Amino acid sequence: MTRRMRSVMDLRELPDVVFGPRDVMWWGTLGFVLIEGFTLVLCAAVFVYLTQNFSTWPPEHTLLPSLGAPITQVVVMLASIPVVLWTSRAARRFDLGKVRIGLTLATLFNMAFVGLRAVELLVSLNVKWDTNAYGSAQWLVLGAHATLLAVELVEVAGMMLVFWLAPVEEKHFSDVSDMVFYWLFMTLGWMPLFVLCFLSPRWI
Amino acid sequence: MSETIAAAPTVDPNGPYEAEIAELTRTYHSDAGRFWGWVTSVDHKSIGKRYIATCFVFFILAGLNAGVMRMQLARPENHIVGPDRYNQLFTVHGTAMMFLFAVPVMTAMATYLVPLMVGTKEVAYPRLNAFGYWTFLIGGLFLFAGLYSNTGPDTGWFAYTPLSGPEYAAGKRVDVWAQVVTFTEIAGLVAAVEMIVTIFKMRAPGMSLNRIPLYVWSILVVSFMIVFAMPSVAMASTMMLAMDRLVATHFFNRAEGGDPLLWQHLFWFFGHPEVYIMFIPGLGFVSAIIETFTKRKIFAYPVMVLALFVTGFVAFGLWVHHMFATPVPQLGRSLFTAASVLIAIPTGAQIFCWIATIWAGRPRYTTSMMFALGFIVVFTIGGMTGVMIASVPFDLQVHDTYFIVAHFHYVILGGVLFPLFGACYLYFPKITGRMMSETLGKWNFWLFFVGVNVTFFPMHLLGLDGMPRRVYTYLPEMGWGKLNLIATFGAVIIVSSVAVFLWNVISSWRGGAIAGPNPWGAPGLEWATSSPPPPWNFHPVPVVEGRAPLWEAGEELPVATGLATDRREVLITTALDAIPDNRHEHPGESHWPLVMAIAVGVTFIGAVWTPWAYVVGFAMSAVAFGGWGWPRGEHPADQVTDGVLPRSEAR
Repeated sequence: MTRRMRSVMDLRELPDVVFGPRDVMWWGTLGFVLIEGFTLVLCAAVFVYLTQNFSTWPPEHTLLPSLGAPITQVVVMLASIPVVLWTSRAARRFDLGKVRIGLTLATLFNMAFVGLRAVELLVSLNVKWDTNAYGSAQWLVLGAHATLLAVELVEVAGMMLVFWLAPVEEKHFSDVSDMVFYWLFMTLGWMPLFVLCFLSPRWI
Repeated sequence: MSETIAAAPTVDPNGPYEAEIAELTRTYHSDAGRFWGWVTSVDHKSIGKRYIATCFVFFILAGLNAGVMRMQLARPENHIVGPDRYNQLFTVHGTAMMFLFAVPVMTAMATYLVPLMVGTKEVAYPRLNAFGYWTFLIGGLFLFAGLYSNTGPDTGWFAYTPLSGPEYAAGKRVDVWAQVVTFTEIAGLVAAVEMIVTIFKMRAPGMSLNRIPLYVWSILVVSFMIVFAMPSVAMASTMMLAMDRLVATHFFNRAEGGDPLLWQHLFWFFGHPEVYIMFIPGLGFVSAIIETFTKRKIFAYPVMVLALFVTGFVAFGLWVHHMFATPVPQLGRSLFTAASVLIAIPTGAQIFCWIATIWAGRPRYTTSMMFALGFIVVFTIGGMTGVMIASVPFDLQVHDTYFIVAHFHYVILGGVLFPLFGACYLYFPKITGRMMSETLGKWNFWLFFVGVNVTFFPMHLLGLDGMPRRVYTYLPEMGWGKLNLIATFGAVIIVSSVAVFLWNVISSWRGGAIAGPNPWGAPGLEWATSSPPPPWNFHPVPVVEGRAPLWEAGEELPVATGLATDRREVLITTALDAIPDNRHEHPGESHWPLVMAIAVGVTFIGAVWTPWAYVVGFAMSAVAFGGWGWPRGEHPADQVTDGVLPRSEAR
């Protein structure tokens, strides 16, 4: 016995390019923000857990981290936010020219993040990963966040190349908007970790 | 009501939409050859089937490990294998059963079933889905390659430090374990995001939250659990344990301020929810089976949904009960004991709801239903011993004994295998278009039910008698010989049951009775399409008007028309009420997910030997990422050039 079908709605008029939470790609970005965000929280928990094994933090004979590059990093990250928000607004208006400029600036910012992170790890921390558990914890938190910076650099640089070189369709502008959402997580999410890694050793 | 339901008609797959179906056939057709088409496929059904098959292969391999272990323990002072090989056997058995079978097989089933159940054409991110499978496959092969080359992990499936650290575990065995875990966690996390978005944003119009099938609810809960549980072990294994071993970090090295117990916290913060991640989909299967074979909607649907959520939530508050033998503060012990007992309440509520459903319905005792009933018995026994060991004094007595082995095998076989076998009998007709043999199915069930109890019940007694787990042999004077022999005999019965199941699958796939779209007269949308479903699952999109759509639709199934057929377009709906919101185009076949998985494979396998593998792997992944995302200009009409929006007026 075969069941007949009764049409009760027509989907033809629905849009096929949307932005933000209406877009299914935005939800995927949110999923990875949750996963990566919780991983960073766990890294911070490991950091805090290990402090209880030491009478001083950093341990004796280990220098405090220096603040020059880390503060520069924070400033550069905060400075990037208006730029990417401007890019997102341009994307929502399908303004190809402004999006190209915005993505180019974002790529340069992201390269600066990665470069500064290298300085933070190799110079500012004043400790190697194998010196003691304090050093391991510092490298864990900075290293975990560095993977976000590196992956995002690949994404934003790739997106920039797409917008300059490839046949861009309207739906790709929505991807720019999602990239900005991730960018906010990546940069603002660093702020409490900056406090944890570079300021809290001075207070404990 | 049941009379009407039994005669529930099925949807004519063509109907008045023959021209659109013809165009969809062209849209979903792959020009690639048979093998390359299979490799590049992103169809959730194709990925789901290979995922399920791969999991069962790993299940059999891990089961063979168990077979050797049982032969070894069948009598005292046996020397089939020595202690070193035995350590590898039980470690790989546990690792494979947990990371390569019990959790991923549920992911695999969900990959196949969830899009059909929610009435959509695909999972949310088809290429990511394919990537997850390939990553999983590489990780699983790596584990067994390790075992068969005498580099199998040998420190237990939870790899406690400091035993697994560089000081006590030289060589690469533990490194293999740490990276295999990473592979499977990546695959699991990818699948979790897939499921969350598919369930939230791709449900058929009208499938509001209060109409979602219970199995889909169970997958949603589990997916959220994965998102918050798996990062813990992925971080602990890849970024901490592997680094302690590879580049001399000191996370678990007491001498430099590290802490071995930190490993246990991080592992069990994942490991305990993992148990629930395994069996909550099983609870969903049991609901689907009981609903189908009693011809009655599940009793107290809101209670069932809330119970799933409570179980998922409380599961994160139990991890320390694995650590009662460590110096945990007394208050902590009491708290975790209370939480461990608390978990029995939502599970118990579900069991009562199932019993009420059977009571009020007209049960048909098919093989599938028998496995659901077997689940209730075996899982309840496992749950009751769980309440026993939630008590600290009792736990300290039986810690690391065979009582624990008995407990968790009752939970896992009861909570995973019984529902899974039941689901296989329920959904095999949908997947293959053919029915499984009920006669062989009954043999499968009874052998399994008897085998599980004969194997694992004596282990309770062995544990109370003081037999520790993970010993490769024992002395005759201990008096454990008889019970061990009985357990080994039970294992032989389990093996014969699995052999019957496999034979049933093979023979039914070749020559089983033709199933038709809805052989069981079931209520869900997955039964509204043909068996097996076409690549696009549904056309037009079904519309839901109740919680049991096919039972409530009568002679006519409401549908929504208008999705494009010249591209792989899916409908996106609102998260709460499933109101149509926008149309989204899915990508077609691609080899880039496999390339990306190989890049990930090079990264983590190479990292067993050198940290530079991360640099090389990252570069390879970046290239794969570019290939994956680079636009091919498939729709010239949609292209944006300077200042020109092709369809802005329409928008």
